[in-house]
Amino acid sequence: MPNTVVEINNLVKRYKELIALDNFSLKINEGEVFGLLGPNGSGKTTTINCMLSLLAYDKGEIKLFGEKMTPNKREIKSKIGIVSQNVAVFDELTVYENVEYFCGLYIKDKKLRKQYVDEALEFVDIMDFKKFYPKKLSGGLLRRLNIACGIAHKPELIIFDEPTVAVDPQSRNKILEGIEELNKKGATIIYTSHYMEEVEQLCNHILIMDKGKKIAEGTSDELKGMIKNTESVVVNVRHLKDNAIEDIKKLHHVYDVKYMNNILTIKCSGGKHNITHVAEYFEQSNLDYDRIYSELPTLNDVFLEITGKELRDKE
Amino acid sequence: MFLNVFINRLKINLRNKEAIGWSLIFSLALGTLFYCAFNSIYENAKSTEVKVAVIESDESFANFNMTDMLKELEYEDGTKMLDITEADYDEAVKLLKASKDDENEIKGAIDLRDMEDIRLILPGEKQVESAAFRSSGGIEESVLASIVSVFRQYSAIIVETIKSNPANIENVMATFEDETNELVKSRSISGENKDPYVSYFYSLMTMMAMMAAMAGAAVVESGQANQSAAGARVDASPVSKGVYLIAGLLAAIVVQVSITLIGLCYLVYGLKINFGGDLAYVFITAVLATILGISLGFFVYQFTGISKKARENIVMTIIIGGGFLSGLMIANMKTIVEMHCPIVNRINPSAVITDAFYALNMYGVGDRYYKAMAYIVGLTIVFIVSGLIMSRRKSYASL
Ligand SMILES: Nc1ncnc2c1ncn2[C@@H]1O[C@H](COP(=O)(O)OP(=O)(O)OP(=O)(O)O)[C@@H](O)[C@H]1O
Ligand SMILES: [Mg+2]
Repeated sequence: MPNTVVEINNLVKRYKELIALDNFSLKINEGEVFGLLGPNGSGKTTTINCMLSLLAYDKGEIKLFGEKMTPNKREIKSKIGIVSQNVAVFDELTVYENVEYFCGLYIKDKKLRKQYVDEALEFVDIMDFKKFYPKKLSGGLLRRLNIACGIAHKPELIIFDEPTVAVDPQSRNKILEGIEELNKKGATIIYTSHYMEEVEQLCNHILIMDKGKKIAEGTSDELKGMIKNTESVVVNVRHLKDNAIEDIKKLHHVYDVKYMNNILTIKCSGGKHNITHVAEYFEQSNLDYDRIYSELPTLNDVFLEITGKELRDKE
Repeated sequence: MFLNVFINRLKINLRNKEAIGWSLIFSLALGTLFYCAFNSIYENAKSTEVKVAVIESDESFANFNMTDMLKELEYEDGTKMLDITEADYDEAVKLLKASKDDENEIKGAIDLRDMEDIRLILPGEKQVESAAFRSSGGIEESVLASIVSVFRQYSAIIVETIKSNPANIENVMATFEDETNELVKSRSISGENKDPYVSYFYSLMTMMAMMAAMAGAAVVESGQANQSAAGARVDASPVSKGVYLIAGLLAAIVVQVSITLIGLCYLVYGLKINFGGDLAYVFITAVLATILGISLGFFVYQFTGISKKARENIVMTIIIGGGFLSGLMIANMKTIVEMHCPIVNRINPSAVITDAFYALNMYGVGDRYYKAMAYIVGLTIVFIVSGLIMSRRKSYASL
């Protein structure tokens, strides 16, 4: 049995009338990369702040490293690293000074601290900018500095709250690779995001939440296994007649067909050769199409099927 | 950890150029402004002879002549205070009438005819009760009024003494001379400084010290989760809250006290403002006042239940409103408060600080000064200790 690092039971948090967390529970084991996936305002940051005892909650229980968490548990706090959603650095301190300052809140020994700071700067690859003030950094570099500040003291549990928001794809990949590496070195990771691709790529344990409630939990495959949809066949085709759509609906394993903007989306449940069956139908009916391809379900489909809405608004 | 926080807070404070700039500009510019405004008044008072008519008495007391005494009055720099024209009543009235149209004519007439009732006659009026000091009358009038006030008091005593106990006249004359010397000093910019304008510089120093409150507030903001994102980092770290805040306060004190000292040095050595009293104590007072200012901001910003804007307003109200009540805008405001609601002068930090400067100047290092300093230190301790107690680790209802 692996050790439980985080255990939250029936957490309730209200902001006046608004219920931000509604009997929310989760359990995270040592060594996991735990993904907390949910749309904007679903309560991810609130969960984290309650966990850290920064935020008071109305009901429930929070245990970290097997102990009840309170604002005074300094030994617990010393094992945690936080990469907050908002960049939290001092504008008056340089990149190096910021990391050193925050690391200094954990590590007393000066020599060890210097070594840790250097390692953190190398890790997020901003050594070249160590004399820069935060105001002079690009958005991506600033995010990386924010990460360095959170991980320099080599915490056992690291919390990343949407660390890739407003970051270009290159920096984003770097950040994700870095997180994987930290996990390999032994850190337990909590990763919140509303980007399902990132969570799918990174996390071996995913919890999907909405409106302060847990919707589903498991590995990416387990989550996808929970839904009816196993494959979507997409056809780019012009001027499709209604009777053809009716015919396609009758095909084997097909349970839902949508035709919009010259794109035909056919949702299938089970079956192995769905794309072939669709292609055969088009040939037999002498219908021309531009392109046909198959899509595997995503976590968005999971979310969509359970809640009836998209995980996030189309960008 | 203490050193780490202290050094970095020091850097943060020192690199906050905007805040430092404003504090310095505030004190240097306002100091210069006050100096220019009041200096012209000082100059007048110091070196201008006031033209006055003296209406002589027929009576003569044993080798005692009022007119001669008036003639001898001079400022510390040797300039005579009065330019005397001897006249009888009718001539004096004529001269006074003429003075309406002619700047160079007499500014008043001193009527010595009745030694028991010396009077000052001013242009355009009949007779003024001598002690009446009309602030509207300009500096010349106020010089005349204060001279006549002293002469009027003493001539009555002298007449009384001659009548009842002539042997004692020497003693009475001696105190009279002391009193006239005092009169001269009070009109002077240097020496034992008791003029009303220096109080504006106390207020300026007080204001400067109180402005340090924002640095105390910043210490709280930087380390509290519901105040700033960086504060959340600090709150989520294992650093002891007390250690963090005390290190931060010390850093703020080092920087703010330096700013205060620069400002004070400019006033004392640059503008040569005479604060009176022992200079070392003036500096000590300014330093402790600055620490009081910091502790005020530190205390108010612990009230995290109210919005940041509200807290800022409270601090500003205490600084500006307290400054007003302590006489920043109206010189005798503090006296009015003392009469109607003395407790305000005890707990208004600005009033307590101005009082310390004032006591130092008027009475030197003594009971009154120590009492004022005890209030400063006491208030500081109350603010810091309550602040530390209130800041103990807690979870917040909202971030
Ligand atoms: N300080 C607050 N006062 C009142 N309501 C709040 C406060 N903070 C958050 N909320 C509300 O609580 C809910 C959960 O917010 P939370 O920040 O935890 O969401 P999130 O999942 O982190 O969203 P995002 O992806 O946008 O960061 C939201 O409806 C939000 O509006
Ligand atoms: Mg969030």
